Amino acid sequence: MPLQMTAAQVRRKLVGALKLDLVGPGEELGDPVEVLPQSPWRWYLTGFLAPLDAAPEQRGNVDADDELSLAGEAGLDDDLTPEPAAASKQRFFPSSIGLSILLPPETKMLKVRVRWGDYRRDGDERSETWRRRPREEVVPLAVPERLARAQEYKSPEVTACASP
Amino acid sequence: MVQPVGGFGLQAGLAAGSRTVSVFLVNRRTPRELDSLKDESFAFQTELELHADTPFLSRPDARGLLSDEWDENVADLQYRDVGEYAVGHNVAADGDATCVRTCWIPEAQVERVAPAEMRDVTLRMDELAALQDGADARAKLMPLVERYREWIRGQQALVPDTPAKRQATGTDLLNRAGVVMLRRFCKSGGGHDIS
Repeated sequence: MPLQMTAAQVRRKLVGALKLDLVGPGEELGDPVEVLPQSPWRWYLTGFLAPLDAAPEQRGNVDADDELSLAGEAGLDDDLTPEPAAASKQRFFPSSIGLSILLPPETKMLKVRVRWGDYRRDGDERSETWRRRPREEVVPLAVPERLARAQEYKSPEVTACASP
Repeated sequence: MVQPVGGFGLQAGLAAGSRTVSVFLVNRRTPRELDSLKDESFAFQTELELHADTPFLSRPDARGLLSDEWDENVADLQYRDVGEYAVGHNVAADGDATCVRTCWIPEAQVERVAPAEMRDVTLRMDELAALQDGADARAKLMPLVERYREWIRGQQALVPDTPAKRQATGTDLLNRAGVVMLRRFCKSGGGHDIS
């Protein structure tokens, strides 16, 4: 690290710190095999996919309510009107992310690279720790010439699919 | 999902046979029933990245071309070189013609607008406050009109020939600039004192 950082370097560092804080370790940031003292779902704010078949209480942010009332009790906010909780209750975490692109007629192949992190719980009830394992899958996709139905590619644990 | 772009895509300048492709990453794992272990079936820091054996096509944004709103028309002209190569679903997207990826926290840089450097023009207020007379004002300020005229001439060569609407927007903008330039020219050239 140079002694004197340029404005751009400082900004880069701040953006990186924010991403590390809200999403977690990425390609260049953080420790890919980090150990968290708390469930990663509580530790991170975004970037994760819940199982499609998970029960609604596992897919929603059930804590949002508590956080709001706690913030109200702290009395730091001048606005005494309580925030409506209904919207936060309705928040569901996504189970999928996607990308749409435009391809010229001559494109035959797409290479899909998927990266994510799995966390396994160690320790007993009293001292939980969560260890990250970096995961990566590369799926070659042949692009059909005409309108195509969903093609699904099952990874042992995560599924990548090209779908309608 | 693979779909032909259809007639509208052709109008917007895409080659026949172009296709849109959507790729999704879906977490179809079996959820852990124990709440204390549910995170094990979640996927964290998810990222989807696509490479193709040919460059991706830039997504035409026809909104500004079809619109009758002046602001939209001007934006269509001024941002005609800015390409969008991917659209994200449930997440933001970023990338270029060779590689696109999802990003949970999108980034954008706002470009700084720097005024052009102008030779022989007096812009400092304390110097302008001490102008001797009309002739002095003309000598110190007319170069501004001259530079402006040169700039307009340079811009005229940059107006795109197609599509017709974009060309019309560019021509219209430069005509308006020409009106401003003439107004300044007549005022100072016509002998009015600049006060």
